[in-house]
Amino acid sequence: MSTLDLTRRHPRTGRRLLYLLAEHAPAVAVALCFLLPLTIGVLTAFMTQHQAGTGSLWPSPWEFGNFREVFRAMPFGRDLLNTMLYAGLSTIGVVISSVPVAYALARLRWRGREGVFLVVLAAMMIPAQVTSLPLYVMYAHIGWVGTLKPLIVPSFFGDAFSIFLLRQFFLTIPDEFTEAARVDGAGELRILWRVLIPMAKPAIAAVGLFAFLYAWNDFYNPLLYTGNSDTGQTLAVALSQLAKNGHQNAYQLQMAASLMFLLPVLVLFFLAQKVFVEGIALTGVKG
Amino acid sequence: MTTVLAPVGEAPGTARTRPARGGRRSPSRARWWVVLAFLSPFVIGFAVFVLYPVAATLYYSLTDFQAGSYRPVQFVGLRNYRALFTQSDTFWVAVRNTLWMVVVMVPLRTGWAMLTAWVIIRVKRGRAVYRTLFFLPSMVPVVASALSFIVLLNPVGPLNRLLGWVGVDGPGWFSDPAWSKPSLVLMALWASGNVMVIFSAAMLDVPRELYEAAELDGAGALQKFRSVTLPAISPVIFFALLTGMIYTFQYFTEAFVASSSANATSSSNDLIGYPANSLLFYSTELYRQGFAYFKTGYASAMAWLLFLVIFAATVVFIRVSRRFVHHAGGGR
Amino acid sequence: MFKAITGATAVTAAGVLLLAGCTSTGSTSSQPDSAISPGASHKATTVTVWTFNHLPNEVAAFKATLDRLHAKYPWLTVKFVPNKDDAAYAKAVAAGDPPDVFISSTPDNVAKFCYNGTVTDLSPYLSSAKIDTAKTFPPATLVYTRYQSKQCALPLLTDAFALYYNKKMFAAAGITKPPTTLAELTADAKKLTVKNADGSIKTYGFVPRSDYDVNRYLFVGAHSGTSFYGKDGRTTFASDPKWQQLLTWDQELIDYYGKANVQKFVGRYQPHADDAGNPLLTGAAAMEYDGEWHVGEIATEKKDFDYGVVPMPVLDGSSGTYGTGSTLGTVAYLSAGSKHKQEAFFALQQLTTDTTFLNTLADTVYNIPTTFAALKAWDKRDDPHWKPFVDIFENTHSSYKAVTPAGVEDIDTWRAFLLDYEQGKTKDAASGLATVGKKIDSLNSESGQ
Repeated sequence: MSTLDLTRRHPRTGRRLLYLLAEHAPAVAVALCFLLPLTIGVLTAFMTQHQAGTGSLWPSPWEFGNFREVFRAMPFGRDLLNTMLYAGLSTIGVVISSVPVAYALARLRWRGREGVFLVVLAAMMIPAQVTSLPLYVMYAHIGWVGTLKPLIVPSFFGDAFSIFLLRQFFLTIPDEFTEAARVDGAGELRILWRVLIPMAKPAIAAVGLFAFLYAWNDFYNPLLYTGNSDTGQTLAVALSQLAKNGHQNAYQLQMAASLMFLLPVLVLFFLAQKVFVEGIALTGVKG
Repeated sequence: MTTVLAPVGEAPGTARTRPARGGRRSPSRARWWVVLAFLSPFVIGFAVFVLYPVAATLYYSLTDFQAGSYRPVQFVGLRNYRALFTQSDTFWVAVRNTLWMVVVMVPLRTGWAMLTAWVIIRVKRGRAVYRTLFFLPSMVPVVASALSFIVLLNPVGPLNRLLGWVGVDGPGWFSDPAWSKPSLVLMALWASGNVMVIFSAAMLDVPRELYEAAELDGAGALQKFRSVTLPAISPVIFFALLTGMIYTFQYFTEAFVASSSANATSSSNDLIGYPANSLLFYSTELYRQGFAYFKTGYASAMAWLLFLVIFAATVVFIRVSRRFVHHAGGGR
Repeated sequence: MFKAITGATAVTAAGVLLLAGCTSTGSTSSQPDSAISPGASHKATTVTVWTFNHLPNEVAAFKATLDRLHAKYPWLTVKFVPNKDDAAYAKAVAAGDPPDVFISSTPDNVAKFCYNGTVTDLSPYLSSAKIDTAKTFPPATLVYTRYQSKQCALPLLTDAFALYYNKKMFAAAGITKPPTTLAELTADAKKLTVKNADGSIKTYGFVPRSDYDVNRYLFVGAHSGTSFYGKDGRTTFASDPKWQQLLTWDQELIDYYGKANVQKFVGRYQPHADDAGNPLLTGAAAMEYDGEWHVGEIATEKKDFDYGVVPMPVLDGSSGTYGTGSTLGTVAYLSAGSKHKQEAFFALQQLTTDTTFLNTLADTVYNIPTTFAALKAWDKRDDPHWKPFVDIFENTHSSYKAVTPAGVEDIDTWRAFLLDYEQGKTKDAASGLATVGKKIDSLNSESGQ
């Protein structure tokens, strides 16, 4: 029976239903928009070569072998390993190098502190394109092109965005905690390690997650340094080349590979949702 | 800030033996070598990975350097810049396309994020589910989302089939020069969940009293939005527009992947900008000149110009926004 | 804290001066530039060969020949790496570690690599090995492998382009003879066009748009009796009126179908040019301009397809040139940074002149062998689908364009202009031609020509 009938017959439930609809309808509409591309992608991963890309909306027949075929079509395992190496090591590097810098910018007082913070802000804005040409030449000279080193090593020297995030967070911690430790005679390193880091766990987790995500999704830098490498390719680049190595228009393989590429990120997200959302809120809301 | 001279000659870490009386240094200045030690990763990193390349880019841009060439490098002054401005069509096409994206995509994305945030906060139960759904696409690796949009927006693909059901003749999307950039905008809207999250947090932060006060003054929903919500979230709007602008000036991956899928047998470098240079953006043109043609000096000129433009645009944007951004409660 | 920053700046300045002075180290080797004679014994050497080929059957064909090579000359081991394009090669050169031999699919870059000193001039090796290029390689291949009297590369298989047509559709439309001039082509295309009940186009007679498939080679001169560059090395767009006629033909045929329809066609079929979705095979097009590899593709994808191949029609008034065509192909370089130049040249020589190898590879990748000897011995030369291509290739007027140190930029600029014109963004052909000609000329002189 229609909602109108409901409202007439059972005014209270009917009205509640109407409110529910009004409350959820726009959200559902938007949700459908967001879901559509992913759904098509997932469904395509189960289509046969013949059907993929033809506009079909439902696989028939269902082809489950595409995921295995991806491993035959590209060195997926090796690329996955490279991607994990890059993402994992650079996350570690970003965290251990950004925390001390943020500490100095937030919890120590010294002349020029704001100036250096401005430098950090400026560094956040410098696009990769501006620095990549000379860096490439430099790496080529020392034989690092074709390896993952140009991707991983710089992350051990601080990341401006992470420094910014952590500094903002450190600023919110009241002075009393660190002052108490100072009164007790603790050195700065100790204060950082014993007092601040335990309190900053959510921010550090957020920074680590962002760094991991950034490296996992990174396309430009791996394209530059390992795009033509036989052994050092990451998934992002390898995926974009999948359609070119004799697997012309194999959309179903591309989608299957994309899903596998996407999976770790999804898992990470669900496990750490709260951290993500809070971390993002950290970046934007307050100054 | 009072300044108390720190005892000289004490190394950090010997704190335990220091008498409590002389140990209190707050709010005092920290010792410079301590600060330097903490800052060292960034200082080294900044020098090697930022300062040096930026300076070297400027230097390269004044030469005819071609990486991989055995010819000796010669200083040519402003020749590269002159060539860019007066002899290169593709340069101006790239500039135009990039500006188009900045002017169209950034406001649209911000507006859409605002809209979806507003939709989300209307929902009382199950908000987390919607938030997850809306946020998820922004976490998908760009390459994967570009590839799935290529499938979705195939000229004979699912979306056009759906449109056909309602009698609309879908365009060629990524294959049509007139529709390729709008297709990328669609993709950007779909992946705007991260901005939406910030907006929803800000919107929820707006004090209830402000709304109630406005209602007392007889304001309708739209009025309330305009006079209460907008000013309150203006810092977030500013942030979203600024970061969106900076991101779009460097827009690369989406355009590169979308173009490269056009033809399976041509190499990606040959397809940069396809179709018909409609997806030729500043950074993909830079990439092509610098890493496909290896005209390092020429590409460095492009890079240096990009640096200057981003710097100038940011300064201008911040100045202009100061008038519009409302800082409740003291601001920064 | 500014101490730290000033310190950093000092380091930077030093770094800039230090590294900016670095270019790729030139080849300071004092290696002999004479060829090794096949009979001589030699110490064991490994030579690295890179190629752009990546399809499994092509890689297998290479590997088979290299095995044969090793069997015949046990001292020579070849390390073979597929799937490397020109950018990958340039990267390796920039890193100071180039392969000894590189096989490229982009002949446009020959002059660029030569001018930059990236590849070695092969002339001394060739004369020492007593190879007369004019007697070994067809003249068309020497156009795009030489620059300023240097032999910068050797040809390794070539492509030729011709008109494919659907015989059944021709018969149904009552066309008895394939067109030989562009005007006839247009007339036939109109006859062959079939429309659906709702007015949309079911079958296009011929789509000339320059960005579709390999149509760009329609516009480099062979089919219009013009040449891209004149004898002075400058473009002829402004001086030769035939270019305008060519553009007019192009525009008329596109306008017959309507720009929007042509855009739909190109957008839909561009990704499928090389697979079973090719419009010629699905019936969406009655005629198509394509390279000789398409014969092999059709044999795989639609064996019983009834089609014919004829030389591409030429501009009216240049019927004397009917039978020529655009021909260009893959080239093989000897890196200047190679540490085993003699041995590398030996491998190069075998790869590019061994008849059995050339013909086997040609059969596998569906290209045309590039020596007179190999052509004579080729088993496909009398196949009705392959013969037109061989004839085109052997025609002395077939050519591509001269190569300049600007690499692919001259042809890319030309293609961008063509597309602008075809889409109506540039309306005046004459002034457009003059402008693009000037642009390409200044591009070339900037690049060092």
